[in-house]
Amino acid sequence: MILGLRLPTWHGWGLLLPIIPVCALGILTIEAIADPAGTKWLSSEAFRQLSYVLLGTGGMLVVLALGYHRIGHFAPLMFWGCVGLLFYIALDRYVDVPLVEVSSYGARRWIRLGPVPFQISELMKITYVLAIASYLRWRRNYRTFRGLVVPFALTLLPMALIKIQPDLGTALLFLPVLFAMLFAAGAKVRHLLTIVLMAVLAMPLFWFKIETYQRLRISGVFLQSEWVRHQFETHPHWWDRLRPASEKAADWRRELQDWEQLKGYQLVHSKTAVGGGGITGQGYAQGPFIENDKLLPERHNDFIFAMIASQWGLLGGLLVMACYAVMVIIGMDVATLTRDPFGRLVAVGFSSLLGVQTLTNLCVTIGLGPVTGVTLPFVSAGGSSLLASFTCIGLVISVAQHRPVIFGNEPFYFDEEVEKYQG
Amino acid sequence: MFERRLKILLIVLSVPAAAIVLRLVQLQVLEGESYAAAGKRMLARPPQYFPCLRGEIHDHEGRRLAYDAPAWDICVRYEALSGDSESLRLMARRMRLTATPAREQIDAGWQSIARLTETPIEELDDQAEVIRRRVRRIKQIVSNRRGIETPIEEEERAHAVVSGLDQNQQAVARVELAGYPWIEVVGAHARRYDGGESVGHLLGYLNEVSAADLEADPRRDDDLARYRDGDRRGIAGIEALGEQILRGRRGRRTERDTGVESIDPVEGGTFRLTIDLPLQQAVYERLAAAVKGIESATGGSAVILDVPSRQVLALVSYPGYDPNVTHAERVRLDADSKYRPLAFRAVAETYPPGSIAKPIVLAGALTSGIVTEGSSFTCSGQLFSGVADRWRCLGHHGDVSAVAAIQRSCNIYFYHVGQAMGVPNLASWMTHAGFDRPSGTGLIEEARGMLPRTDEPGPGDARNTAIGQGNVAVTPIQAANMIATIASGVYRPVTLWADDPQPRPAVPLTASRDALRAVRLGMYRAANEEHGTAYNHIHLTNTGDLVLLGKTGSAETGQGRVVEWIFDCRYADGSLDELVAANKTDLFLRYPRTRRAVEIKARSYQEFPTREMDPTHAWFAGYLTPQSRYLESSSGGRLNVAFAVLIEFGGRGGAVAAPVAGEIVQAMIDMQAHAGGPQ
Repeated sequence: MILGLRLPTWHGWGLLLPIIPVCALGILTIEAIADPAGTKWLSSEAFRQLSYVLLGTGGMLVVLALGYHRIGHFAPLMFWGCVGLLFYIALDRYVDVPLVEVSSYGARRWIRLGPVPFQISELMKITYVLAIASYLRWRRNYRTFRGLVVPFALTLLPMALIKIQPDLGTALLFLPVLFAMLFAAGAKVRHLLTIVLMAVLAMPLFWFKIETYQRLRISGVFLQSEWVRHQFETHPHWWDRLRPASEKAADWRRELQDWEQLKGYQLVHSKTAVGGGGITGQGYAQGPFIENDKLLPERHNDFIFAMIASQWGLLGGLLVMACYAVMVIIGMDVATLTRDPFGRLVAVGFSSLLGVQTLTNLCVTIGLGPVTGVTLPFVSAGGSSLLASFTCIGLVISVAQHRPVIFGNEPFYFDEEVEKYQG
Repeated sequence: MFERRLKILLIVLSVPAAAIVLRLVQLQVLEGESYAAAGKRMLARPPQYFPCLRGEIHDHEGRRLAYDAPAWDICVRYEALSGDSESLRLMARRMRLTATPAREQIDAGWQSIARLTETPIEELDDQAEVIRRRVRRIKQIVSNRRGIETPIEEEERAHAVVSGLDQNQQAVARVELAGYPWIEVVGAHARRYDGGESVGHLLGYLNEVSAADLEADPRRDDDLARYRDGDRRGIAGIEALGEQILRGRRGRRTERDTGVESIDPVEGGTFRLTIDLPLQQAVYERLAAAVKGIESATGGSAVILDVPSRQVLALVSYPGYDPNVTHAERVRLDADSKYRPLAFRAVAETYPPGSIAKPIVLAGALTSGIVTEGSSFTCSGQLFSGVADRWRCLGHHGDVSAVAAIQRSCNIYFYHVGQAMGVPNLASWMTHAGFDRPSGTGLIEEARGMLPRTDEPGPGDARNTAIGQGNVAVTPIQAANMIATIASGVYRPVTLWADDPQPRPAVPLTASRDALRAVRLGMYRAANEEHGTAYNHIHLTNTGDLVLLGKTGSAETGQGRVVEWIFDCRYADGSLDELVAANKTDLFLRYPRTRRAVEIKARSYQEFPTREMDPTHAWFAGYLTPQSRYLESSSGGRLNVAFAVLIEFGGRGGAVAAPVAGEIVQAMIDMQAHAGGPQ
C-alpha cells in the first residue's frame, strides 16, 4: 500500500513468508558449523535452534490468540516489571543475588529460569515498544518539546540499566526505535532534529567516559583502513591524543601497531569470511571459516551473517537482506491497515526495531560500524533472541488481524494550520 | 500524513541498507579474490613447538649430577578436566566418540590415575586446578587483547597431570587407561638426579614458571627461548644458579606458502661444578654418622675449599634429601622443624662462629699493634672476680701469650684484646676475611650472616665479638673461607661454577707476616701439641708431608629453640582450634581442616622442655699444608684445602667436631692416595 508496492499481507500471515527462508538459513549454518563433516543428519546445536524456532512459533500463536490489545493493557505493568528485573541484574554487580548468570567477561545479562538462562534485555525490547505505544496512543503533547521529556525518560531508564550489564549495542537500539515511533506518531521534525543535534554535540564528551575497549571498537571502524593506520603511524602524536588516561603509552601504541592481531582481529576475520564468499559463495559447509573453528569467534551468534555470506556469497547475502526488507515493509503496511492508534504504533515500533537491529548487525559484520553484541533476528543461535523476534512478529500479525472499527479522526493526522490557530 | 511519514521512515532505513549492499559488492566482488586467498592463509596451522632437553649438571670431573631422562606423562584432555558437560559433549564429537562420557566415567579414569601412580587424589585435584587456572588465564589474556571472547587451542588439548613415569609404569598405564580415550600417555622427559642425598640441597629443583617469571624473563623477546606457560625453571640450588645456561631453546615447525620451515631444538648447556662428587658423598656419610651418634645434634654441615683457587670441592648439609623427591614429599620434609632437612645449612644458615673467629681477631690485633707476640694476659677462669656466671673462660690458663691463646682457646685473652680493639676494628678485620658478605657461590639461598653494628656498640659487644659470640653469625662456607684467608694471607670469593667467567680477584689480607705466623703456630699447636684444644681428638695416618692446622669452636646458642608452637586457628564460621605443631606446613599436614582457617596465629609453647639452655654448636675449621713450611702462606700443592665442619647443637668443638673433621680429612687423604683424587 505504501511505496506503491502491494505486498501480499494476507491478514498479516504474509509476514511469515520471508521469515521461513531466514530461519532455515540460520539452522543450516548452525548445522554446518557444529558438524561440518555431516556425520549426523542433525547436530544437537541445530536441533536446539530448530526447537527454539518451533517454540517461537508456538509463542507467536499464543500472542495471536491473546491479541495485541489485551496484551497492551498490561504494557505499563510489563515494562516496569522488566525494569525491575534489569535492576535486579544490575544489583548483582554490587551484592551477590541468586539466579543471575555471569559470563566469563563479567557481563550480567541472563537470569536463570530452571535450566535455561533468559536474556532480560530481549524481553525489555518488546515491553518497551508496547509501553511507548501505549503511552503515545491518546496523547498529542509530544508535539511540544516538553512533551518529549517523558518518552525520553522512559527510554533512558532501560538503556542505562542495559548499559550497566554491559551491553552497549543492545542499549543503543532503543533510541532509533523511539525516534521512529515519535516520528510516525507525528512529533515535530525540528524537535527531533534538535535532540539529534544535541546528542551529536555531546558525543566528544562521551569519548572520554567510555572504556578503553569501547574506544578501540569505535576507532576500529576507521583503523580497518590501512591508509588511516599509516597516517596514525607517521603521526603518532595524533594517536596518543586519543589515549585514555588509564592506558599505558606503550600499550596504546601497540594497539595501533598490532591492530590486526589485537582488537582488529575479529573485524579482519569477519571481513575475510564475507569477502572470501565472492558472488556465489564457497558452498555449503565449505571454506576456511567452517574448517577451522577458531578463526572467527562468535561465528554462530553475532557474526552468523559472515558465515552465510561466506557459504552463499553475495547472492545469499542479498537474499537475506531482501527477506528483512520485505518483513519491514509488510510491517509498515500493517500499520496503515488499522485505524487503532495503539496498533499503528505497535506495528511501526516492531518493524523499525527489526529493521534497526538487522542493519546494526550487518554493519558490524562487514565493518561499517563498531563491534557490538547485537544478534541477527531469526538467524543467530540463541533462544532468547528467537523467542523475542517471534513474539514481535506475532504482535504485528495480531495488529493486522484485529482491526477495531473506530469512529473519529484518522489518528496521527495533524492539521498544522488548525493547530496554529488553536495555539 | 501518517503514510507519508512511514514512507520517509522506510527511505531513511534504506540508506544504510544501500550502504551495506555497496559494501558487500566491494568486499565480495571487487576484493573477493584477495579475501579468499587471505582466508586460505589463515588456515595455515599455527607453529608447532618441540621441547628441548635441559642441560646437564656435572661435577668437576664430568660426573653427571642432573640430566633429562626419557619419561612419560599422563595427560588428560582439558574438556575432561574442566568437567563442564557442554565441553564434554564437544570433546566427544571432536574425538569421534560414539557417546558423551558420563561424569562417572571421568571420575573412574581419575581414580585409576591416582591408583596407578600412587598419587593421592587431592594432589591430582590440585594439579587439575593449576591447569584450569592456567588455561583460564590464557583465555582471559587472549580475549582481552582481541576485545572479544575467543576460544583457544589449550581448551582442546591434553594436559599433563602426572609426570615422570618410567618404562614399566607407562606400559601398565597404557593398558589400564585404554578404556578412557580422553587420557593419554605421552612420551616426555623428566629431570633426574644422581648423587643421592648428599647433593639434594645443592642441586635444587624446578618449578612451573609463574606469571611474574614470564614478565621478568631475560630472553622474553626470543620466541624459541622464552618461557611459555607450563614451562619449568630452576628455582633453587644449582638449577636456579645455572638456569640461563641450562634452559636451551625449543624447536619450531611452521607451515608457510613457500614450504615448511623447521628449526631444531637446541639442548641446554652443561653446567660444570667445582664439586667433587665422591668427596661430597664421603663427607656426607661421615657427617651423617656423626650427627646420628650425638643425641642433642640436629644437623651438620661441612665445606671444603681449595685454598689457592677457592673452588668449592664439597658443600654438604645434613640431613639431606634425595633430589628426586616429589613436591609432596618435599612438603612433608618441610614439616620437620627439629632436623629441618630442607635447610641448606652450608650456605643458607648462619651460626655464631664462637672460637673459630679467634684466628682472624688475633691476626688483626697483632697487626694493629694492640698486643705483641710476647705480651700476655692472666687467665683465672673469669674476667671479673666476683662475677662468676659471665665473661668466663673454660679453663684456668694462667699467663697466656698470643700463640697459647689460640692453642688453648682462651676467652679471657680475647676479652682483653676485643676491649682494646673495639667493635669497628674487629668488624673490619672480620669483613676482610669474608664475614657478612656474599661468599661468591651465587646461590640464591645464600645467607650473608651478620656483624655487630659499628655505630653504637654496647659495653660488652667488643668482648663478645672477639670470641665470635653476640651479634656475629656466619655460614659454614664463610667460616671455611676465613680459614683459607688465614692460610694463604689472601681473601678471595669462592667459585662453585667451574666455568664462571666472572673474575674473582684476590685481595691480600693486610695482616703482617709475623702476625699470620703467630696465628698459624697457634692453630698448629691446637691440633698437634699437648694442651691444644683438638689435640688427641684427631689422628691422621698416611699424611706424608702434610700437616693439619685448625681451630675448635663451641659456639653458645643462647636461649633454647622453640620446636613446637601453639596455633590458634579461626574459621569462617567463628569456631576456634588450638593445636600444637612444628610449623604451618606441619599443621596443615597433621590437621587438614586448618587449611580452611581464615586466620592462624602462632604462640610459642612455653611449657616445652627445650626452653632450657641448649648444647653449643660444635665447630672445627682448619687447613692442610706442607709440614716443611707450615707457618708460611699456603700457595697450592697437594691437598691444599681449607675446611669448616659444624655439628648443630653437637656440643664441644674439640670433642665432637674435631674427630669428624679428622675423619673427613683422612677420607680426603685416602681418596687422593688411591685415585689421585681431588687436586
